[in-house]
Amino acid sequence: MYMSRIVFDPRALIRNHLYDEHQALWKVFSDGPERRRDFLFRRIETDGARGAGAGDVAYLAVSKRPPVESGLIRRVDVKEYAPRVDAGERVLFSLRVNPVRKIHDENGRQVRYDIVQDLRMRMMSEGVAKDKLPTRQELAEEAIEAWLAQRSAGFGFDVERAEGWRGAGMNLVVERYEYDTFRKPKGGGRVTVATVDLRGFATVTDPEALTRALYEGIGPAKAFGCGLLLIRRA
Amino acid sequence: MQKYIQLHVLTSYPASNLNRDDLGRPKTVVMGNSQRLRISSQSVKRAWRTSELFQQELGAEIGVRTKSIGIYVHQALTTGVGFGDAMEGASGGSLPTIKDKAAREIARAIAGVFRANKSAEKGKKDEEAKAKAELEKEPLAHLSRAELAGIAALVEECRESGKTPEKDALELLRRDNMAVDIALFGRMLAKNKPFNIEAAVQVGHPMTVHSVEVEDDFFTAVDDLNRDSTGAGHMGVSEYGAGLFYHYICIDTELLVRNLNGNEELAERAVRALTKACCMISPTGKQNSYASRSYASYCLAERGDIQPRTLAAAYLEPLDFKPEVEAVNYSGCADSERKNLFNRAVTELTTLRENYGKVYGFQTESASFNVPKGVGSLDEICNFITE
Repeated sequence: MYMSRIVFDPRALIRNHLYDEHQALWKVFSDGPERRRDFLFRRIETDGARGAGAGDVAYLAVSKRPPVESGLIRRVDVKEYAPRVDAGERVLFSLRVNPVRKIHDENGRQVRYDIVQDLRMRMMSEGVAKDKLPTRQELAEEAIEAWLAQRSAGFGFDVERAEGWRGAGMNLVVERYEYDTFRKPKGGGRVTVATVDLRGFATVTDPEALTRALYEGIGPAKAFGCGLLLIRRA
Repeated sequence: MQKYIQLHVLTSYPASNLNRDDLGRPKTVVMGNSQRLRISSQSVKRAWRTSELFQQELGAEIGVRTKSIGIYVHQALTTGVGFGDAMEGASGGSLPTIKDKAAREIARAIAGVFRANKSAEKGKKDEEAKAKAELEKEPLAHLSRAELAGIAALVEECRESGKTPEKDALELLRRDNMAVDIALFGRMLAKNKPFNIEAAVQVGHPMTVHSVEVEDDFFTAVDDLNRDSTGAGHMGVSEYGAGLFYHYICIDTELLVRNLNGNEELAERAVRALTKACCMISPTGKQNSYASRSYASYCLAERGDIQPRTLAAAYLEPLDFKPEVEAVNYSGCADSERKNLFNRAVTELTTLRENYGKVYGFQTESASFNVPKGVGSLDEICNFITE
C-alpha cells in the first residue's frame, strides 16, 4: 500500500467542491473507467507549507497503487505504507467519518440516517424547544461516542476513556461537524454528506482488524473523502 | 546596577527538538497568524540552572530542587547515613538507625513543611501504603543550601531522640542566605506564604522569527508505524524543526538584591551568570540525537528605569521570504542583505527599538554584540549591565 500527500492547484477544485475532489482524486488513482475504488483520501490543512501555496488544497490518500501524474497537481509525496502495530500499543488516531446508521424502512429499502440529525430530530419529537436544543457540535459529540463504541472493537482498537467535564467518557475530541450538499453534474441527484472529525487516543486490541480498517477505511462516503483512519504511535 | 536590565537574544538552532509537548511534538505558538516553534521558559530556566556554566559561576550559591525530601529523611534515618549523604544516594552508614514507622512519621513531618498540609488523610485504612505513597508524592520544592543544612541538623536531632519533631523545630524555611537561583527565578510553597520568593527575572518563551511547519502530520508518522518492533532496522523518525529564535529576558535588579538580602555583589554575579547562560546554554532536549547546542548570534542588552517591554512585535510579521514585501522594505539593500534572515531579524529588532524610543519619547541605554559581523563581546555586555 502507499500513502501519498497530494497538493492540487485550487483550479482543479473550483466548481463544486466535494464532487470535484472526488473527480480529481479519481483521476490520480484510477487507470480506467472499469477500475473499482481502491483508495481512500482525506482533505487536510496546508497552511501554505511544504510545497503548498496559500489556497492550495492538500490531500492524504491511502491506495493500492501509487498515484499517477495528472494536470493541476502541484506536488506529490509518496511513501510506502505497511503499518505494523502490536496489541496493547497506544496510538493517537484521527478520523473523518460520515456518521450514519443504516435502517431498513417498511418497504425493506436501506436508508442511511445521519446520527447527529437523527438525535436532533428525536430530541425535538420529545418536546425539546428549538431554542433549547444543544448545538449540532454538542449533539455530534454525544452521538459519535455511541456510534464509535459500537464499532471500534471491529476496527481493532479500544478508545481510551477519561474523566472529562461531563463525567467519564471517551478520550476523544470532536473537532468539527459539517454538512455538505451538492448535485451531481449532468442531471444527477442531490447528495448530502455529513462529516465528523475525530481525534483521540486508543489502545490497539486486534492488529489485524486495525490494519484492515487502515487499508479499507471506516464507514460510508469513502468516495467523498470520509473513512480514512490515520494513526500514529502516541 | 539600574533597575531594569533587558536582554534581547537571537539564537539559531539547527534541526532540533528542544522542547516537546505531551505528544512528543516540538512546542509551537501562533503569532501574527503564522506558526512558530517555541521553547517554554521553564525549559530554558532549567537548562541554565543545571548548566556547568552556572555551577562554575555561582557554585555553592545554587539551591536544590527536589521532590524527595521525605524519602531522603526516611532513608537517612533507617539506613544510618547523614541527610546530605542520603541525597547523594548513599545508604548503609554507621550512624544509629531508628524504626521504619517512626522514621516515616519524622519524614512526613519534615517534608510537610514544604507543601500543603495533608494530615486530613490520616487515620484512613491502609495507612502504611498511604504514608509511603505520600512520601513519594511530594511537589517539587526549591531549597537553599542553608535550608538543607537546617534539615540535616534536624534529622540528626530526631535520630537522637527518635521522636517526631515539634512545631517549633520545624521552622526550617529561611530567607537569609538565599540561594541565587531561587532569588532569580522565585519559588512558591503552597503552605508557607511568607517564604515564597517572587522571581526577579522574567523569562520569555523563545520563538522563531519566521514561520515553521512542524513535521508532525500523519503522513510523516507513516515511517514511525513501520518501525521494526524488535528495535533493529531503523529507528523511526522523530519530529524536529530548525529556526532562528528570539528570546527576551527582563531582570528586576532591585527585587533581585532584595531577594538576596541586600547582597549586591552576589546580585551582580548572578546577573552576569544569567546573561552568559542565556547566550551560551541551549535547552537539553534531544541533544544526543541532534547536537543542537548553539551560542547566541546576537544579543542586545538594555538598562534603565523605564518600564520594560519585549521587542517580539518586531516579528509579528514572520520573516519569510516574500519577494513583493522584500522589494519595498529592503529596496536599498544589497541582494545578500535582503535574503539574509539573520540580518533582517537584527534590522527589524533595532528599528522597532528606535521607533519605540521615538514615539514614547525616551530611550534606554544599550549595548550589543553581533557574531556574524564580529562586533562587540559578551564581556562588554556583562560589564555594561552591571555598571
